[in-house]
Amino acid sequence: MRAEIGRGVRAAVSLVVALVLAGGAAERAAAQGSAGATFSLPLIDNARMWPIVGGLPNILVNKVLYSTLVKYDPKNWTPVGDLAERWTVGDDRLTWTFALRRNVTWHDGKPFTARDVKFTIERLWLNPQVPFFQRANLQDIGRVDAVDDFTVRVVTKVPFATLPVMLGYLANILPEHILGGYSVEQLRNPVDFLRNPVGTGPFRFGESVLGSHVRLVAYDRYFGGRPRLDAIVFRVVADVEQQLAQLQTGQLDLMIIEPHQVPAVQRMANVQIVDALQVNYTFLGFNHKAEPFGDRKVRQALSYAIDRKAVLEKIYGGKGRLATGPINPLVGWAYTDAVDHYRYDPALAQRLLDEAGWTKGPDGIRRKAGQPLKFTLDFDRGNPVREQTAVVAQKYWRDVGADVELRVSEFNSLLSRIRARPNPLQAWVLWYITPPEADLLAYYHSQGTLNEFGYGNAEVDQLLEKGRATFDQPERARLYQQAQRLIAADAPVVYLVYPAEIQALSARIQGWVPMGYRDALTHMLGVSAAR
Amino acid sequence: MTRYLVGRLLQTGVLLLVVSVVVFALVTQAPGGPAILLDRNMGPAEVAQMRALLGLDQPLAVQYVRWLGQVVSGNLGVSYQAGVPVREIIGQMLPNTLLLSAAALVLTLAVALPAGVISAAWPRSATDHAVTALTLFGISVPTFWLGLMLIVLFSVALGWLPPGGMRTIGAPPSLGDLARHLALPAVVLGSANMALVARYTRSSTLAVLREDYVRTARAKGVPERAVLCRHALRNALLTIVTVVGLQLPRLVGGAAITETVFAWPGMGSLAVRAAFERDYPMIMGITLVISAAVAASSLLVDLLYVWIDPRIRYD
Repeated sequence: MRAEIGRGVRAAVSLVVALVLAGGAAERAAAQGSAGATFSLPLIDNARMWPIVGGLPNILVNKVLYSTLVKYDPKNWTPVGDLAERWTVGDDRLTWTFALRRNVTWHDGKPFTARDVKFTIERLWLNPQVPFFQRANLQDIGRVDAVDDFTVRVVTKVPFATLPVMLGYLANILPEHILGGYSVEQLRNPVDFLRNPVGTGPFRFGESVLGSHVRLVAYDRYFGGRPRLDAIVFRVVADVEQQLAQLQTGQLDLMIIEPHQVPAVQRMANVQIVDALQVNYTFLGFNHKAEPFGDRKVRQALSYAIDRKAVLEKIYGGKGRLATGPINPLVGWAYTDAVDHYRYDPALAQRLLDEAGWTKGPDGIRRKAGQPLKFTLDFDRGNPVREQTAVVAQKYWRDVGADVELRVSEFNSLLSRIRARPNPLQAWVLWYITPPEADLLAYYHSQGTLNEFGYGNAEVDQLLEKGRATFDQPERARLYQQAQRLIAADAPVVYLVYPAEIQALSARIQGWVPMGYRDALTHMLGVSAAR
Repeated sequence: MTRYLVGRLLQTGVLLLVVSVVVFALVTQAPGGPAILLDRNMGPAEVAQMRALLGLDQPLAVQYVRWLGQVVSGNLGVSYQAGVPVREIIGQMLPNTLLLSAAALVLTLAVALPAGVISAAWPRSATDHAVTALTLFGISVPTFWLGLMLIVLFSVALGWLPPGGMRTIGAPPSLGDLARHLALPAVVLGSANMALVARYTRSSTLAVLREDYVRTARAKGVPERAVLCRHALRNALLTIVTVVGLQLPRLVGGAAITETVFAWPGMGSLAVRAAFERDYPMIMGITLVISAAVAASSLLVDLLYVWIDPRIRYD
């Protein structure tokens, strides 16, 4: 009896060993074969390949699977054609005419036409019954006419100079010939379509395994030619350490890292570091509706009190440049640095606070009318840059007499509080990634839907309204430069850094465009991988 | 026996109802909200519309009753994040988790039972001390740390095993490939329980070895091996079955940390992501399945008692 058990165990052990060895062979074969021309990157969760709903995993996959009417030129971030070849705006400044590419096919082989554009915009983006996450950016579109198969006329309700830029920002075109017959209920979440989504991007749907990966394979009939890669694999890997291990062992070709991880990644022989540009800025936000932030002098003082140069060097590892305002220098035509820079000046900060009536008490904390200068700075857990920023800001502000309490919460919980109206927070650490545009209306107009600061300046309001309705680029630039000067003087928030997105990219990858990976993924056609 | 079973099943139903109410209250009251409402590009109007579509603008009681109504008709709802029916997602994750957990359990028992019996048979010997030291290590070492160390050693340094995932993407699925991906997480998941089960096996075997019938068996001249395996271990099993039974729900629930560290597509990592994203239908669905598994495994353990110890009866 015992001997039998012994034989059984030995048989089982040798079976396992054999399986493990055989598996190794399969993996090596895959690595040498088709997987050699595969590009892999991580997702933190399953992607839903329905570009009507947001969320980073969805956005990343949809960038490759679908196309947009325009995308952004890696050289200067201005809109260039994707599905549209060129466009013009009429004298009424309301009627835009887009000439579409003629050689585009959907992944099922059917031709792409103006009807797809009309359907996507009218039935999905503008349909009040479909929850399109980008509607705020595109709601000024009034209607769409398909002039012929390859010409689309878009009529806006008001002059809308930023239309082409917004059409390049997370606005994927969807197939009318499949979705046209869907009910509103189905369009909200087309479960069947998503089992085999059909787009016009350079890679078509291959397979999706929940919790594991999405695999997109090269589309031979892509209008720009066949991609050089055979496939793009998005692997669901939520854990950063696991991402690093997969990067080092070659299962992943790209991951986004934090400044403190740079030295470790630099030691990996098979990985290069790319400081990619992205239209963004990080800041310390203030709630102007809460004391003491309604007072401009206090906000200016809190800006002067922070050594942002040290923050950039020590916390961001020098990866980025000092921010001067809400418009990123990548939007070159509109950006100006001829604004107040708030160089580190604690003495000036002290003087401004004195002028604002906040006088220092014996404990070093300032008081006004018996009330201490005391507030809470909120930040999210788990991101080392923002955690360190909060701690350092607390120290700098303490130096000029503010008693700052730190409160950490999960990002989800922080963001839902920031977005509540009225905003219950006093100060917080956050960042923005925006379209490559100077149009700040949603964020800095007193009535802006995303103005969580409660910032309001009538002159800025006017400039932003005018900027949206002005089509002459030099004139627009002048308006936005004036707005930047006014905003900087108001110090609505402490502008910290225009950070680079630090990409750890496998050394075998060639042709990668050094944009933030959201946009780099729209330029995958020329990317290749050495075998 | 039948009456006992029916009673237990009724109890289980009530238990599941209570658990679902409590969990529903907890997840909906937790700070923050569904991640799908927090995309940075959405304006307030889009958020309000999405809330209404998901039924989140209704009073909590209404939301709960709606959810319960769905569940009774066999529908667990649709995941906010994936847009796929919860039942389908769990249906895909559960087999992966069962595979990992079963492999871990087999490893646990294969190592822990002999180790426990051996150290009980020769208490205070060098072997016993070695087993005790190892099990202490196994209990004390944090799962994520052990996982990372094994990844560093076997994947990064030696390159023998893949660091994570469940299969080589792009290669045809094969048993061997699966086994290679399974090896590290199964060892990590098994090691914590290994220590626990070995300790319990040792102490309960020791206790049994002091019983009169063991002395009688030895006096009769029964060989020591037979005494250990037939007389002592069989009776020590009662405790061991309880301990292992308590671990059974984890077979279904998955190990959140191990699955996350190894990017294993199972119930544990699914639950972690669902909790972070406040994917209410997903969280409720997972809770329901795990609670049912807890109830079922405790019932199973109680029934196993009857089989192991004929003195126990449930009439």
